[in-house]
Amino acid sequence: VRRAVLIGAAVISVVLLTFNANPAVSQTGTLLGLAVDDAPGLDPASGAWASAPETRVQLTAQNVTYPFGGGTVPAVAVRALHHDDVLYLRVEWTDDTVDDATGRSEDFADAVAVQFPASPGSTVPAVCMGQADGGVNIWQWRADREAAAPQDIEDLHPDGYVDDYQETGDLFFPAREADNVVATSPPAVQDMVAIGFGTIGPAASQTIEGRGDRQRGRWRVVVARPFPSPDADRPAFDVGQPTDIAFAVWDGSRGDRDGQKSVSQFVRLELSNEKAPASRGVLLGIGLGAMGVLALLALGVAMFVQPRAPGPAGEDKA
Amino acid sequence: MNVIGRTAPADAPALPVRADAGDADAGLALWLARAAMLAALAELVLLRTATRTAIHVPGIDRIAIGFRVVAEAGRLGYYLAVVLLAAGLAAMVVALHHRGHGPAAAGVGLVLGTAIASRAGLAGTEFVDAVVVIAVVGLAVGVARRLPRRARLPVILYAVAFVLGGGPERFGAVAMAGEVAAVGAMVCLAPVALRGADRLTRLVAAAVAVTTMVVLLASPTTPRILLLWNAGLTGALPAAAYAVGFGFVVAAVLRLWRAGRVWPAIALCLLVEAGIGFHSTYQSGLAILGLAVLTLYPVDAGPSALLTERRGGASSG
Repeated sequence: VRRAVLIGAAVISVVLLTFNANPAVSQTGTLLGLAVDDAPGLDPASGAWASAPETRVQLTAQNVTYPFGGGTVPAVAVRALHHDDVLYLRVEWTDDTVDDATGRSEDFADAVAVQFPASPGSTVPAVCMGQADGGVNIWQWRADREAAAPQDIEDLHPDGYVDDYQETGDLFFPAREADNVVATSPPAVQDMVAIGFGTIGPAASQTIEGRGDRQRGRWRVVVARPFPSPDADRPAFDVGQPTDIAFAVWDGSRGDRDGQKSVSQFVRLELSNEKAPASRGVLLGIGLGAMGVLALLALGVAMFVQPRAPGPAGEDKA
Repeated sequence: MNVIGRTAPADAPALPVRADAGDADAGLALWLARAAMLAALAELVLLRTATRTAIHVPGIDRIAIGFRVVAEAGRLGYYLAVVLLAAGLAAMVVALHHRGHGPAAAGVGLVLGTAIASRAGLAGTEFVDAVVVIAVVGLAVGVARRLPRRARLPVILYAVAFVLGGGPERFGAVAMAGEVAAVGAMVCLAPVALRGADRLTRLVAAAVAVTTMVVLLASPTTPRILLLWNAGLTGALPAAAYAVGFGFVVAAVLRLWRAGRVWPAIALCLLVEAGIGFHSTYQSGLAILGLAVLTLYPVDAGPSALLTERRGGASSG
């Protein structure tokens, strides 16, 4: 019997491995994306977001590779919606300072990024920019790219002196000449791919839209993308097909940039056609909290009650 | 009969056993638990640890084939562990029921059913979390009630750590309390780890403790990330605490195994592989299976034999 069980388990395992079908379910927290009748658009203040349950995702400093840093933003509040096969995400976090200008070399922008496995699979890639056999897709919004008016160099450095440029096309602008997306027309949200540390680069096409705003000391940023995958390096989304999502936040005034950032682990993203009341998360939190307290009480009582009297083997059998 | 299929050494404490219809069920359940533990060990070493460490190798994408081989071997171990775990939990439900542990059987069955329902999209993650907490606490209370008070601490502290580790604040005060409970559970294994331990056990445990200490002190970042990913521990306590804790865990496993007490050794390994807090239904299942093994064990070995046995004699109270 045991040999048959072992052989059967091995066969089933190989089949599951072949089809990349994971029988287990992540318990690291779930971001539930609900359907809405009207497109919420890119406005973070849209009333549609009130119906979306909020998930709070913990952040910590990026402590895995150089340059270490971040950790000044403890958490983000995230909501997800979908309409007409377009995924909308709103990420919200507290930041007392507005860092939306990076004209000086010592200035850094506030920013937020969401990260998905390139393809939902049995095991998620490393949350730190993916791994060799499992890439990630990253959408990064930056406050300085959203800011409407670029800063004038003479305002930033009133006592400075600048030699005249020879305004001859792109000769003196190699990044622009090379079609570097950052140098040409940087969008507020950049679509990027990576397969490990130091491998991040722009995706083959820029398909993400987004917009951010400030309200009472908090940034609120909406990013959106249609469900279909633009290419193999980026995920497709669909109702009933969970994937994973992670978050990173940069606080420019704290010197956050590049790898210096506050990061989360992957949480589960589930898209559903259901609609849920906005209070669902609160009630759920209260219920789970009460259950946790009861669990601790039960364990405390179990620690101090009299042990069950030892008896002959089988005594416990009712 | 020895349902685990392993003959105890001549100097091992005698295990009072009984043979009845439940032995076959218990034997299959415990055999599956051991197989799942070994597969999960391969997954833990190859997938959760090796591939997550390899991402730090510069240019790892240029040797993607080697990386992929290790990752796929780890994934195969993962799938094997998941399948054996599911079978083990199902067999454990039957075994616990036949041994008169009705509530424990119901708890294990509920976790298995909820995990399957969640996979099928019929149950939300929060529901799975709630069922897992109830099952972990219920099983831990059941195990603890069969033990003398001083031997309860590791089981109780593990359950406390599991509940607190699943709290909303991964790095807050609640998580820190869970961290202390988890390390406390490991340190409280000292009596079983040290009492009667032979030279080899002590040497291996010391080597593990020293290695843990050196790794945590030499690299304050990556090992702690691995701790978090693998076991739900944040690594916020002094390195010495983890070094001592892991040393005691390894010593306890070796001590129990070499003394012929394979079941609690397997249970300990399963709990280590599971970690604390909510990771996935797979890791929660490992925790449930480990506690279920401990639930079955005292019936055959005597209620106080789990952690307080005396070398060469009957179990003590």
